[in-house]
Amino acid sequence: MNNPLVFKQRLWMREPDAKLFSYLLRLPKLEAFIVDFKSISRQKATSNRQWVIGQGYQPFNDDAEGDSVVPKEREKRSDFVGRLPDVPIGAFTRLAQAIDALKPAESSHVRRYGFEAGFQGVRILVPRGVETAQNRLRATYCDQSLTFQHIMQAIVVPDGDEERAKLLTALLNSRIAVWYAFHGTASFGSDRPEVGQANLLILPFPSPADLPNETAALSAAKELVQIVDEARAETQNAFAPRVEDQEVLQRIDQLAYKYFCLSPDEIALIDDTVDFIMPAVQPHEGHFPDLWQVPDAAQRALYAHTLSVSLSGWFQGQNRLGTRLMARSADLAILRLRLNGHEDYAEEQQGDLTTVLEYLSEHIHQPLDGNFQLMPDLRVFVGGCLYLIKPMQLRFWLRSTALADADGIALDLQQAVTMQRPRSAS
Amino acid sequence: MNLGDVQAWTDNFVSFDDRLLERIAVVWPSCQAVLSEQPEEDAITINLVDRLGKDPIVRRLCYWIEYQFEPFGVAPDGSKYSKGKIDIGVLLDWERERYLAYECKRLNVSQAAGRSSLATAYVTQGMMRFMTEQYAEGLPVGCMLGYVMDGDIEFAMERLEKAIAAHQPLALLDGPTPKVSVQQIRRFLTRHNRPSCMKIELRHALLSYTSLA
Repeated sequence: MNNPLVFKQRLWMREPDAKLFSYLLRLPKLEAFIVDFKSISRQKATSNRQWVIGQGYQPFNDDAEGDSVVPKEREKRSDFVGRLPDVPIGAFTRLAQAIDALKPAESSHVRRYGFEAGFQGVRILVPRGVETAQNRLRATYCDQSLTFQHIMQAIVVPDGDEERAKLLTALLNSRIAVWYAFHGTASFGSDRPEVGQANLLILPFPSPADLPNETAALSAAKELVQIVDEARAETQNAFAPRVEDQEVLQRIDQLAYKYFCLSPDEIALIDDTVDFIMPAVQPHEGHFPDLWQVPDAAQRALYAHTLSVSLSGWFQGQNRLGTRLMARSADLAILRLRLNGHEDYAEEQQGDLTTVLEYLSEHIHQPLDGNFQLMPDLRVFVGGCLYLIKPMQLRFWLRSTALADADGIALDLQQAVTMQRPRSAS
Repeated sequence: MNLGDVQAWTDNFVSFDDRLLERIAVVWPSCQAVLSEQPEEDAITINLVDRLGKDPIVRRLCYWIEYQFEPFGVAPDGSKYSKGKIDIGVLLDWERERYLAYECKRLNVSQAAGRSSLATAYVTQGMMRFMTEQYAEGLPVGCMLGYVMDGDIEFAMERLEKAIAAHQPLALLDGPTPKVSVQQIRRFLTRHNRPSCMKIELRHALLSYTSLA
């Protein structure tokens, strides 16, 4: 397949992520109805009849450009910059832009005018950079005149599409948007954490009719629009009750999951990526990502539960498989899955790693003395039990890892079944 | 890396196509609901694939489900070419060469002159594509979906059995062998010796176009 992102995706995706990505890939994208302002005439860009995207102005930098002589005829003075309030990136506010404290830029002298139609009217402002503290994109709905630099892009909204714009604003702030951008765009995840204009347009933005459950999507859309309206009311009324940012973002996430009709497994994939994978993408000195930590008991139990439920669908009459942690040390743990076992997850308190390895070695008639850190997917089948020998690092105990492990086990068994069949047929 | 004996696990294993067929049974009524009384084969398949692609369980089962999936063949000079379009291609993971092929055919179609079973076309233009390895090259399993347009599964089955038995190039090893139905979907198996000497198992499913509506 013609996929220029294949190396990056192989780096960060496992099979379950790839499946979710392929679902979202099928949905209509922003590029289906938003055009780049450079590709259309100035008249059309200001007509308010279509969705247009463009970047803000580039300021004229005296220090950097002072040496070169700028001819008078090439000197650019903007009709907007220096007159309208200007939003520096530090003053950007998510969902609804507050403009009370904003002042015009000091000079109207610009290097590039930028997308001037994006300085007025209804539009969505989207900074290029990913907010690394939250691991999210940011977007704000705006209908007041203001200017901004090229680090931000504006999506101009045609008359009558205001509700759709509010929905898009909310969805761009959700974890789904940043998850898709992480896997589906060029820079974020392999270079700078940013999503430029061209990459922004490949994010999915289906209408409710494109989704599996139109009714649920419509209901979620209504609430997402309401969140943006509430945020706008807050910025306009200093006395309005303020909802904590985290709480709003969590609400947006839940509604975005509902809008896209995601299953609990798919939600777990996104949450794990945002909570654990993205913060570990660029390790630096003095930073020890959670992904490398030893999983605690609750995380081990969650892994076992997710694996058990996900695998159970592949076996007749199983609602879940029995799970038990047979032994663990500081480096390794051995998890047992049992067919027809319905016991809740538990951990052997006295389990000894060496004893269990000797037991397994005896049953498969071969030594088990390899470097298990180099074989993180080692599985030993003994009768109706399957033993997973796993390094004690959180990355091997995430819910998303459990889903990937379940897929891997199912695929291996599928192949084993297929290989057995021709022998019996002949 | 797997070690040990997987027999106890494979004995209880529900194969991928069984699980997909369960989902086909679930989405089939909604698929019929939007189609006309006697739709073309492509219209049925497109709507079926659209619904399967959105189904949350199918989304977890496979990497990609594609209408008119084009597998690549390799020419003697090493260049690749299209081997034709498989009605439904299901990619289990990232590997393009590892897929499950579904060839779809209508059966028992009402025509002005009466009912036409189309069982011969099912064999010669469907099953034979697996035999020649135009579809599922190098793969041990292929699937056939029969859309039984008048819901008369018994008649369709009877005609298919005759057509399969009469067509020597199918190199039938055994079958048609009945399999346990999935909801109201009748199933059977056939096994064949391909000219390349590689055996293939064809898994057939007959969907009634009327009874589930």
